[in-house]
Amino acid sequence: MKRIICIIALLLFSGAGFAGDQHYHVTVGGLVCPFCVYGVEKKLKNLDGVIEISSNLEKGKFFLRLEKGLTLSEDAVRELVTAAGFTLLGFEEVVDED
Amino acid sequence: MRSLVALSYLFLCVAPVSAAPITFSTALPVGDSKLINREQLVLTRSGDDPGNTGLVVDVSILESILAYGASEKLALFGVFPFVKKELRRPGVRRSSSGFGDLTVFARYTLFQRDYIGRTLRLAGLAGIKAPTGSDDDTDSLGRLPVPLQSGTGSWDGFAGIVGSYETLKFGLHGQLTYRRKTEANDFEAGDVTRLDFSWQRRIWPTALRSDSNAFLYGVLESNIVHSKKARISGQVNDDSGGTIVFLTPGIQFANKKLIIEAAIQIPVYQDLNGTALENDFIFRTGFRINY
Repeated sequence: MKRIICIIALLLFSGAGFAGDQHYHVTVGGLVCPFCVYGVEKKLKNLDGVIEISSNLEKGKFFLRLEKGLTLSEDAVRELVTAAGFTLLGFEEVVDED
Repeated sequence: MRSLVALSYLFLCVAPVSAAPITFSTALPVGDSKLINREQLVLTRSGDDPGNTGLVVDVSILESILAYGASEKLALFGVFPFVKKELRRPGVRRSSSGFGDLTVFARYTLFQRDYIGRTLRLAGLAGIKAPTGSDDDTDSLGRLPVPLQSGTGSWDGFAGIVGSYETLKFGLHGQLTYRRKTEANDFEAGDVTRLDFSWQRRIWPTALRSDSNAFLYGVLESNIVHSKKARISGQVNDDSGGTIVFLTPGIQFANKKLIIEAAIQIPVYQDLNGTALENDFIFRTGFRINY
């Protein structure tokens, strides 16, 4: 019984956390290997409030999750992507449907 | 003197810093304020002696290379070699070991076009080799000949251009460099012109997935190295200089933070002046760490 309560509580809390966070999709040109991806990820981690970064190398996409209430500017992301040696091709704020 | 052609060649094979050529540089980025370290072991054997004297020269070099991104376009490189050389012929064995000559150079991105999953880049590079290695080592037979010293004693400069077109499936790279040698200890090695090509093909994974974070590449490179004749006490040495063409198969594994690679340079054409020792092979293996 205790285990079930714990699982339910965990699901509720984690769900609430994701629902309130800000999400962005960043498309980067010039990524051709995993070694390149690491350089961009490292730069993007410098952004304030970034909780999680994941990537899809084939699509050149990075998925960023930010703390609730924080937002990203396209210019700030462009500056970091350029500093990493690559080109920003797309920047999109993902609106939560929850 | 002939082994100088191969030795000169070794010190031009510096600092590729991405999933890129194994035997020469690349135009792919380092990144602003980013540090990459490469360690490479280079084993060279020259034992094809037309004079049938049984002469063999082995050279082992451990190169530590640091690359630093001064900006998104400008990368600075330092190459710190530890060198071990040995000459053998019946009844004679001479050797040396120690830190070799330090090379520093800069690379600047001149052209860049990025697309999803592919990039086209062109960069210029230039640098100097300082005479930091020992060039006056001796053994029981006296002072070692210049090719057996850990350092050359000379200040050399080089410049070149490198281009890269790379996609998620394959990469094409080319580099042209010219190295100007200067005189030291009454010896001036011949200037070296070098043209390199590399073709890489991703062989694993065969199909990309959204979570693909490691690649295995098959690599085939070609290196054309032409060295002018050396001068000893101002006189041209007709038993020096020439052209070597290498064909270089290799393999390279890359993930986000590490590249591991190996290649063997096989001399498929050697047109060396005079009657001197020809190169048998150059084996390279090493790794690169993404900080």
